[in-house]
Amino acid sequence: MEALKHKNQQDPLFIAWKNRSVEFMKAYQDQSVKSMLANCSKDCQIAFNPLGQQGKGNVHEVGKAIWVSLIDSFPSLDNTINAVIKENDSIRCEVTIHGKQEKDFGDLKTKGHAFEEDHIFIFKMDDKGFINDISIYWNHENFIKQLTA
Amino acid sequence: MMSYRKYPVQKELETFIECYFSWESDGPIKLDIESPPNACEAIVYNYGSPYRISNQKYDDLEVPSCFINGQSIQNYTLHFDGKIGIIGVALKPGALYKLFEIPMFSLTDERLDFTEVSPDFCSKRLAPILNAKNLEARLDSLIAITEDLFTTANKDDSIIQEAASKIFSDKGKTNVTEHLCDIPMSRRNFERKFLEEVGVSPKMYAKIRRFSFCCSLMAGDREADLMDVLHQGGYYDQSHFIKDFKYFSGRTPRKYAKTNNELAYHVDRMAIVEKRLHLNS
Repeated sequence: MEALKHKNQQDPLFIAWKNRSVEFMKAYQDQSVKSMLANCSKDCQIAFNPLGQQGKGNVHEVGKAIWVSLIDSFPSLDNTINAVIKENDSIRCEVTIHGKQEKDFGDLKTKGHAFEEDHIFIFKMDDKGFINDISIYWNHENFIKQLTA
Repeated sequence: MMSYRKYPVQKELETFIECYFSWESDGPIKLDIESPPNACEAIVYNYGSPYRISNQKYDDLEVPSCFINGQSIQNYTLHFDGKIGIIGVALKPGALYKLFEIPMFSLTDERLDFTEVSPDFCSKRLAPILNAKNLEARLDSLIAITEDLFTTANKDDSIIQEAASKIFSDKGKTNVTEHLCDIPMSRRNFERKFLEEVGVSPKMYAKIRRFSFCCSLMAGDREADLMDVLHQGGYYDQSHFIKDFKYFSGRTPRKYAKTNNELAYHVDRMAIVEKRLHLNS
């Protein structure tokens, strides 16, 4: 029982991985990009898949830039973790992200609209249990529609 | 021959327990049984042959002989090739958290070996369940061990357990957003605690419960009236109904009704067996 309460090597892997993924998402809820990145390895790669090539790269560069800008444009940005599921060698977090746009976000001019959109985060971990790869999926068309309608 | 039975629960444990259950075959049997998520947690003891499980993510996984499991969010199939002998406790949402204080999101769609969770308890208490001479003795042992387990549990209703129980008893029809207005807690805190104690978000839990209720309406009926199921299940439109079925079972409601291999097709009836519970003996 004690082994389950503490994050040590005796934990079944999936529990440590799920804990790590939830820590990351909670840091996102707190809008602390620093804490989000603290859960990631130095070489962690990220792919904001609907954004194509410009949404891919090292999380400490590409991820950080996008999240800082997103939080700046959507000060009420928050998420609800719907489920955390282990899938083979990864953890799938199903979350609903919501927020109201207060500033322009890239080419997306603000109309003061709010959005609420389901996202899937796929996390892979390294040997030390840090996040080593993040892949994010959402319906970008629907996201844009909510903000521009 | 195969029998599946449910047994009532002592009044003082109704907050935590939905029912006790047993599932036995007379002899070896080769069988695949599909099950939808049922919105319950469980503690399960296998005294029959080992069996395996598969779902949309696991092709084939051996199930620990005694395990605890959190919320399922996908249909799964149990593969038996031997004698079936299972007894267990279906628990209300949040009950395992009250017992073990494990973050329940870690057990979503997972079965965790009970002997790893509570090695001392299991080493002293499992033998009477696993080695009982007959079902009645086994059930008596199960009830005794369960009472002992819950002796140490915090019996105060938490806000979370109360909310989850409401969703459960409303069969998932609760308007979670409206319900949030009555809760003396911020939305984020409530959702964080719900995830910790139940394993999924309140909205996801309502979705699971609603789907599970719809499956129970369709159980054993290949020609189920799906519009009736949709309305009784509290769905406002067909697209959400179909979307949920695809999410949980990977199939449309029609296809699920036609092709599912649930237990209802393998036992004559789901018997609720009234049994005298020796609560004070």
